[in-house]
Amino acid sequence: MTFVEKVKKQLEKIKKENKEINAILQVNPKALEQAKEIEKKIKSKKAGKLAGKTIAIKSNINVLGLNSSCASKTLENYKASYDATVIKKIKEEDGLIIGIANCDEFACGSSGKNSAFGPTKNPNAIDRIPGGSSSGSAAAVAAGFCDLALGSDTGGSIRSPASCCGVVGMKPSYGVVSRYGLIDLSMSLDQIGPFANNVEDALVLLNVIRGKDENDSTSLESKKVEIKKLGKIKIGVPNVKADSKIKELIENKLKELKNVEIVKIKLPHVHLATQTYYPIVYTEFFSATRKFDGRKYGKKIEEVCGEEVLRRILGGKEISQAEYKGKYYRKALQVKGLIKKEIEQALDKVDAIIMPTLPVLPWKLNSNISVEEEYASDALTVLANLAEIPAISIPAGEVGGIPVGMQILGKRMTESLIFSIAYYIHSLKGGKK
Amino acid sequence: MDKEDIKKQAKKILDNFAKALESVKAEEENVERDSDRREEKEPNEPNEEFRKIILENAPNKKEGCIVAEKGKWTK
Repeated sequence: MTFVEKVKKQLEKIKKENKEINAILQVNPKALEQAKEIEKKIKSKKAGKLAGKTIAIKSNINVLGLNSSCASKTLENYKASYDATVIKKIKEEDGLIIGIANCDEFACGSSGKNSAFGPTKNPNAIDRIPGGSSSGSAAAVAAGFCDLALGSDTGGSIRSPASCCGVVGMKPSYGVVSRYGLIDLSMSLDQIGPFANNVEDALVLLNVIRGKDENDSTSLESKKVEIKKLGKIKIGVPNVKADSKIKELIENKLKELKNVEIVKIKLPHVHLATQTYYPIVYTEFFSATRKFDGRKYGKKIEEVCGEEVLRRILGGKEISQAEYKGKYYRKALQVKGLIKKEIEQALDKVDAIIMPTLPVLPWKLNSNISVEEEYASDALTVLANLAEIPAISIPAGEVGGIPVGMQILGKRMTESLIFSIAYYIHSLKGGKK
Repeated sequence: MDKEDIKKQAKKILDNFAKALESVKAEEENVERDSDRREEKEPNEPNEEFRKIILENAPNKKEGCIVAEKGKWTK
């Protein structure tokens, strides 16, 4: 099948199945035209590293000329006037942007239900949530609408939907990928990362988008990420609160590993991760949303946004006003430092940490989950953001036909090691290679 | 849920979180920058497409300029 034929097939699939899944908010109107140009390059052997791959982009990342709505009425008709650095890099390597993916409004949520344009459904468990906030990106890959996708991960927004939808999703170390052109949720925690059906494809996309960028002062030089042959490795497994069936599945998966020493580790303040994460997010999100005043573009955010976005804005405002006491944001930053140190110390004794990506199975779309319960579902993913380390979620198997992800966390800037471990585990029985 | 209820709920959640962190002894981290100077890069070349889209996105414009009411935010 030629590349153009593949793109036609995927566009037909989107047309036919997206009404149900709601993963794609906007199809790139020039996709076919651009595919023909890329195919010419492929034939003349002058194509870039992403030639032949189609990519869906979360709607909080600017793609020139397309609608970066953040799945919000605030930016419903907003057209991006420039390419984010990651998009520029993808285009330079001949990746084809197939469309803009749905998400929780302004990346606020863990379920995919908070989009102003309707919830995304989980292609691999249709009555369950797809996870969030990069719900559409994960669902688009799982549904076969595209080969790859980009999401953003502030507290698990790549890894959570990857786990729920049964695909691979990766959050790089803070600084590895430029955030220029990402409409921020919480600038000290946000990172852009890849989704794919397998570990190798996620690695190719990460290698394209990583690197220092003069437009993002927090971005860093990083080495090429490679899958290497593993010698004997030591994996740390913390005792975390999670559904017993999920824990059993992960434990069984770990028993399959050869040449791996499994050791129990302690992370004493891990139970405070959610309580530490949200005050930081509320405060930084309140600050980030002050530009949405409806004067230069879009609509005033408080007048049109959904409940979760409003909750974070009002909560963030409250914190900012009361912050002279240092009770919320400052205290949360202090505990963030403590959790980071504990994770770093644990990682000094092992090569990587493995745990479930989510402590619960993706819940039913129509269930009434409280705000606190939804926040608690992020308890295991927020750790990597608080510690600024890389983490990858790969499919570990299923519980009652519902996908379950396992998370591999490594020291800062050890992307190659966690990709190598992920590749090894994913290549075992049941993994999609 | 109306705005006041959402505000109350957010406050309750944050107070519960603050209470959970209250007794944790943790030191403050400070990041010291190597330099107090910020390098200014060269300005970008004028980009007509960028200008066209920016104006398309603007709710009010006049003669190629965006009209943004001063102080609207505080009203």
